[in-house]
Amino acid sequence: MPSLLFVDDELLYRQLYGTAFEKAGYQVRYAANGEEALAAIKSERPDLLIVDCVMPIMTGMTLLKKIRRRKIPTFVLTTLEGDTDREDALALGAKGFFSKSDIDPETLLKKIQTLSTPT
Amino acid sequence: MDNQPPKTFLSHPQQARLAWHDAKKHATLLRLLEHNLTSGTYGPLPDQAKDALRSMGLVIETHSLLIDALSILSRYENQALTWNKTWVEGERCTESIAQHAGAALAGRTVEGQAVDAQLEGDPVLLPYLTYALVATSARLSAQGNVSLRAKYEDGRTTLELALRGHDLPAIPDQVIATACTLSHTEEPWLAVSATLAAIEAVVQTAGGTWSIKAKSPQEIIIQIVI
Repeated sequence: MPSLLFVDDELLYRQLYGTAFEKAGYQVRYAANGEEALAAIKSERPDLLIVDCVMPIMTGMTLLKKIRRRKIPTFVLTTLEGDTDREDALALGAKGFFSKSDIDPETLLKKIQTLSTPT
Repeated sequence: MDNQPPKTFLSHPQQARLAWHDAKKHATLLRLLEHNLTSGTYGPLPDQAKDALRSMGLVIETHSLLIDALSILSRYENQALTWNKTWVEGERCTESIAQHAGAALAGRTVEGQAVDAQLEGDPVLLPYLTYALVATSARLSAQGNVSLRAKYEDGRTTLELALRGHDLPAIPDQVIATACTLSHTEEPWLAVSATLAAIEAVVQTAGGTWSIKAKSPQEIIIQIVI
């Protein structure tokens, strides 16, 4: 069973997305900010990382910088999109950038699978 | 104390951004919950519950549309709305339009086509324009079908939406002027008005033009050129 680390400071997002991800067959772990995510990654490397941008203590972008060398397939899922957030995230190694209001969990997973498949 | 200027709460761009982020977050949470319930994530539902959720889905979608529009209008009126030109993937502007307006377009056809792989425009506001066009047109008619084309030609990005049906507004070119007064008080017209005003604000900021014309009694074309 592939493992997924879902990082979001909003409990409801973790619950709503998490249930859908688990139903899709992922073993899901959760973190509420970048610092918790870093600790979770150090304890056990996930197969897939989905991370929010705006979080307290450590933001998604800072987390991306810190884990870049680990080459974990990482996707950003955010509510707030600033002018350069998408470019910044992709430049930091994210494989995809999605807006929560544009995509449901099942479509998100399909897109992640497509982007994760080597061409 | 008498000479103190009035307090402002949303005029600082960062404060306004976070306030709208919070409003949008709650709307998105509702959409996600509705999606999970409808799609059976928590198990099967009785038909009556599914019908109620479909109605709720439209309300939530309209709510989200209104938040987006008011956020843009707030930034525009505070001179904080900017159009940053870059290359935007055409597919990003057209691929998720059915999802944005799915509840309003239930049972109708919606098609999106990016004629060119890259369009020139703001990476956030250009996709917003395609979404706003589709969501608005879905509410201008109860039965009409929607098709959207996005192309880049002669240094300009053009978004062209065709709304086809038998119940279209009689005088479409007055829709913009009427809507931008935000004078409607009945749902879903308030969301339509606010969204059309937001489109106007974005198009003005981008230095573009837009129009709504009746090609025939059964077809309206809305075109934005930036």
